[in-house]
Amino acid sequence: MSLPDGPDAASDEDLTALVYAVEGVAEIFPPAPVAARIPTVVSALISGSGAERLVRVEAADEGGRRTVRARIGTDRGVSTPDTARHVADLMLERITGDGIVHIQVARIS
Amino acid sequence: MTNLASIPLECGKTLDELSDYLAADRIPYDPHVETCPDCLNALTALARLAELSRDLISHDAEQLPPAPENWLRTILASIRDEIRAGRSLPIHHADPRARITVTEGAVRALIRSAGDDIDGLVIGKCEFVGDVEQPGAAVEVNVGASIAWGRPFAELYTPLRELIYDLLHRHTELNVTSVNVTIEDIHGFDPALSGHVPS
Repeated sequence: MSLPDGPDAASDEDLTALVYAVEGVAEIFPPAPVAARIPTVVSALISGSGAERLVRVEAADEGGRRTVRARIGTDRGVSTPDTARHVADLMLERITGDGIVHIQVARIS
Repeated sequence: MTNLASIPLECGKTLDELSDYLAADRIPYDPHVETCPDCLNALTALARLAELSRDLISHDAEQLPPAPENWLRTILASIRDEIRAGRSLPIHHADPRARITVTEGAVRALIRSAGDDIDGLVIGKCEFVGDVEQPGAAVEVNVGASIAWGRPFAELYTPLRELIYDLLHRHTELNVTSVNVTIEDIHGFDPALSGHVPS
């Protein structure tokens, strides 16, 4: 997998691909409740692009700090804390300074 | 379905809608449901319940003590009440810039799904008593279950408790001080015990 090397340079798509590659990650969910993302959902319905456009890791500047948010589902055959920490480590490598990484495990299946 | 199933989950979907979606083999594709962890957890529980209900109806027709009248309603109530994300269970990370949590709903759904896989058991309520958002705080786990007609409680009790301890140890960092399992109902009929009439 080829990803940008520089801090804060990775796109949402790059980060999403990176998270999917972590052992124990079974799913990625939209970071915000779907109700708050109605335009995106409608767009996905119209375009027929399905879940790919909805599920992704999101990186944004919040209050001047780079913030990465990932909402994931884990495989119950693998330790959830280990999986989540692994994801966090990878995201931390891609932010600078006082950036923040939020990982929420919303499903274990 | 019951009125209870018409009450929306936090995401806006109802168990009625999810049940209909499941009955239609998840067609047409619903991008909300398929990307919503609460809906997916509910679908898993509803699928298991539907399978069990079909078995019960099938056995009912042949030879039965009937299932308790409110049994399905009770299980549905538990699914609806416990499917929400709920509190955030913290996971430690050495770097303070990383904030990791597991939703209470994810863990409850895991316990329900794994418990339902034990032949003869259906998980009802599942609750965590204690400050689960505080690392290291003592947490008590209370699980209610329905047991298949004729199955000895002792045969299922220990495997279920051990399973819950193992799941919580593997998937959370909760300080679990006790797991209490209560058999709250009896359902159906176990064909493996067809020659046995419970006293």
